Amino acid sequence: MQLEIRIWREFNLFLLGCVVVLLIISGLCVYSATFNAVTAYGTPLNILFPRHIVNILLGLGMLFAFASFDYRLISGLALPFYLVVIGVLAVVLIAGKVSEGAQSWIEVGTRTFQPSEVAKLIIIVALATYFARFEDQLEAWNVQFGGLLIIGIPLLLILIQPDFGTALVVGTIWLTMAWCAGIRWQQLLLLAVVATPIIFIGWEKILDNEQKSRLLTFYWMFVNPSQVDPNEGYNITQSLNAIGSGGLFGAGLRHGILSQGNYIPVQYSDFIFAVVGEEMGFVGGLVLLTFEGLLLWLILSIAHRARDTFGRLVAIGIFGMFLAHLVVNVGMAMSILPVTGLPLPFISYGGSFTITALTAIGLLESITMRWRKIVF
Amino acid sequence: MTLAEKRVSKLREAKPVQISRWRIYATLIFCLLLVMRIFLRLGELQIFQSASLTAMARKEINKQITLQPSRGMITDRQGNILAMDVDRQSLWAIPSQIPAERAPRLALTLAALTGQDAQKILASLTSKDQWWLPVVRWLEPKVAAQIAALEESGLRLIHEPRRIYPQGDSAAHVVGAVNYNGDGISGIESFYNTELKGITGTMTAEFDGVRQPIAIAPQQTEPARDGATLHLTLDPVVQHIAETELAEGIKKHQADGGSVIILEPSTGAIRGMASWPTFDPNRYADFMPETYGRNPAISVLYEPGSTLKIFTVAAGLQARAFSADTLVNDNGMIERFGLKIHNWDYKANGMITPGEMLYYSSNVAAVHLNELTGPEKFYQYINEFGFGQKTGIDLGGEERGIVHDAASPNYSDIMLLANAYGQSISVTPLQIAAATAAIANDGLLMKPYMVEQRCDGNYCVTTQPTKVKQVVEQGVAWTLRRMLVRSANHYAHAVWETKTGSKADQWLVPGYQVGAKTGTASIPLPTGEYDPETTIVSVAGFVPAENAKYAMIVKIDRPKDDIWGTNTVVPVFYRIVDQLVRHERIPPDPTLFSPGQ
Repeated sequence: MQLEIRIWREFNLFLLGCVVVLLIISGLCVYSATFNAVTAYGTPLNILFPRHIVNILLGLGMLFAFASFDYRLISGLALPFYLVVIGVLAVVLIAGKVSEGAQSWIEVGTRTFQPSEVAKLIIIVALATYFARFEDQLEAWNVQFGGLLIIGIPLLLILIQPDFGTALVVGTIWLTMAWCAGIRWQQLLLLAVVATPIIFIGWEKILDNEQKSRLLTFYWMFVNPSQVDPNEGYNITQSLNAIGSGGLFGAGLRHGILSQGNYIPVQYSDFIFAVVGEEMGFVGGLVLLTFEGLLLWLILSIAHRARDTFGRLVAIGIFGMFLAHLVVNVGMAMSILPVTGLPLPFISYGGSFTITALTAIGLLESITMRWRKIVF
Repeated sequence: MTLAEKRVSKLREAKPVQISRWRIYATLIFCLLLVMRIFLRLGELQIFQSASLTAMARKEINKQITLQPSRGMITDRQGNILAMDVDRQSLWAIPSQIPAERAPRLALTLAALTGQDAQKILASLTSKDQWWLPVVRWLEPKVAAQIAALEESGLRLIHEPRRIYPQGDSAAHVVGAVNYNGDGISGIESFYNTELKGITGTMTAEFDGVRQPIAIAPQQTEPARDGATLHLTLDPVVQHIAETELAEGIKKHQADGGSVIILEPSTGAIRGMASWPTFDPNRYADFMPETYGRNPAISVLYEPGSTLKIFTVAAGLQARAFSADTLVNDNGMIERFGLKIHNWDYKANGMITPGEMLYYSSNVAAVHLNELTGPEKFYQYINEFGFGQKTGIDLGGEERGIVHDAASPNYSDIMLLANAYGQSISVTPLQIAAATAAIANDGLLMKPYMVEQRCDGNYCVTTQPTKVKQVVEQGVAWTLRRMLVRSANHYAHAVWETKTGSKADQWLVPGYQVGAKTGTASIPLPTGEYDPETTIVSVAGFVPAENAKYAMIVKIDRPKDDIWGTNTVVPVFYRIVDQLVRHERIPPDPTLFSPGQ
């Protein structure tokens, strides 16, 4: 019991501080973004702000719960959880509620719940457990192939939904984890050779027209923006206009003309960076990105000094997850990446992901609190 | 030790971590590069491109939209609404926002709600050609609410007023119809399109993404001016009588069609104008274009036949070419320029006056009389009565008719003779009705008109009747009216024979003096000859003979069982007049009854 109290001295306040700063920015952004927002049929969206606060409080609860829990015990639960995730993803495919063109939601009472968000964390733990088990022979072909298999099954189920964004995140998680687990160049090269025809088939058979057109729009925005169909490029154009008109200091909260005028689609989640850009300006964007970057750096440093392979790889996986979310979300809002619809960690509205992200921070705290080999 | 503690202690003995740190550093550097890229892009957008992007954002927001005025109402003279705008919503689709796999189910849902064909809806929902297209126009409010409840992002409801015609096919040819662009295509809707449409307004304001003006932002509004309300001269009772009796007569004699025009001689106001076949302007596209696109009462040309003899006599009397007592020899046949002209019944009537010429409808006597009048005077008065030119009625699509007068390159002396009994001349029913009204109005021709009052908001302008010309002197008109009353009574057998058993002249409408002249028009064939099988039969007249309240024409095309027409049109004329005098509450004169009536 004394041990349990003493390890809290090691609690990483910098990490929590970073998260709290981001959550404060999030509160302001979601408040402003949903204040005047309505759906295409005029349903007001300002009910989302109190929900967001509840989500954050639930998430903080999860953070402290997981921090107090020894992360090493979780590795024992990795296999059953992993199997549950596979099962749930399959259930979503069969019985899920279709929303925004993808079949990735399950209704829980009156609220919907997105299993693929939680799945990311469980996949990280499962992969870390697997790699830790073979930590002596990480460079072996069969070990790396097993890792690919562990990630491949849920990845396929997510792609069929189709949830391109989550698939991208899971892919990034695998890449960073396998990379840090010591995957060899030859192995990556072989994967690239095998993957090329699979990607080609995926483009032809799996991606639907909307997703293809999003990718193509992105491509054309890059090559020749004037050639983009004004309707297809509408979302991106609005987002660019909003960010650009923010200037150095921004229009101020609830004063962005595009943000407040329902011009930006899903501005409380996928395009929240456009609201940040317009209402908080370059300075606000800089602060936000700085804290997100700081957070990523802190996560890497936790990985750096974690006491065991499992903890280190969990931290790396979480790093990969947040990195993918951050780069895709912000890059999409600024038209340097295609529109795929991922929330911005700790900023966007979205219950499942907010709680998952804060749970991940709890895991990281658990790892950092137990970094010393002997605690007396 | 619990199981969990055992596990922890086992894990504490784990081997040192195996991951090389340079890989973590490489990851960190990669991450830094990505974040740098994002920083650079942010700076590019917010510092270097800020001005141009701000301008684009403003352009997106500051818009000028057109405010649509509502189209004016059309009513009859009692204020019954004939045409009005109602608020409706139309369903539009953005196919790119409707996932292909869900489109069929959505199409079925919409088909069930709107009652439209599911295949057609599906074709609209999956259209690749347009970004944005209409699916179903003018939804009922209840259906629109149900569709809105679907919350389908690819479906939009757009406010679009719909033109409706509460009276359906009643007075349809007068009122006309409005096409899908909101422009009148026939009748009043076409003639007064500009006035009915009103003037569009503009609003310059800041708009949000769902096209609503932002309330707090400055706005500049030039309001739309709604279209004028038009009160027609149509009397609902007269119109109803005209429509009912015309349809009845056409049905009874299996005719192809027909028209009735009833106007007020003293003003020229049209009180009733009915044509058959008619159409429902609410769904005009279901009918033939020639049915909804033109009004037979003003745009169908026909050779009037004997009704024109009224004006043959009027021209001669006014020109002093002959008097009411002048006798001409009707021996049943006359030969001019190698052509033999007969009476309709091939009978001779002997020495007869102009009045008797009308009474017997003698072609031979009409030719003799017209030779007395001569081309110069005859065509002068024919033109003054309005033939060969538009009456100027405020309805779209009026025809002018064809008169080959003495000045025309097509004129030959045989025209003068044929025109005397109404052949080789083309008129519209309205021209005959208006000219007949001039006889009833003591020789003063009035311009027929359709709109009694035009209101812009509360400001109303009442149409003043327009005098066209005093064509003949009052005395000439009186003389003609006496002749036409005798002529009318000559047709009484068509109505009363069955009741009274008498073929002798009787009062056509007991209790009233009525003037009338029938006409049987041959129909020219493309070969240049006249169709021997079918005719256009008509009767022009007025009631009462003095201080007439109504002048009218009844015209029925191609009755199948009555080539001379008297038995077809006279009963229709009788029934209309009989109801009109009661509608006007004109007391019957007890001396004007024949035995048995």
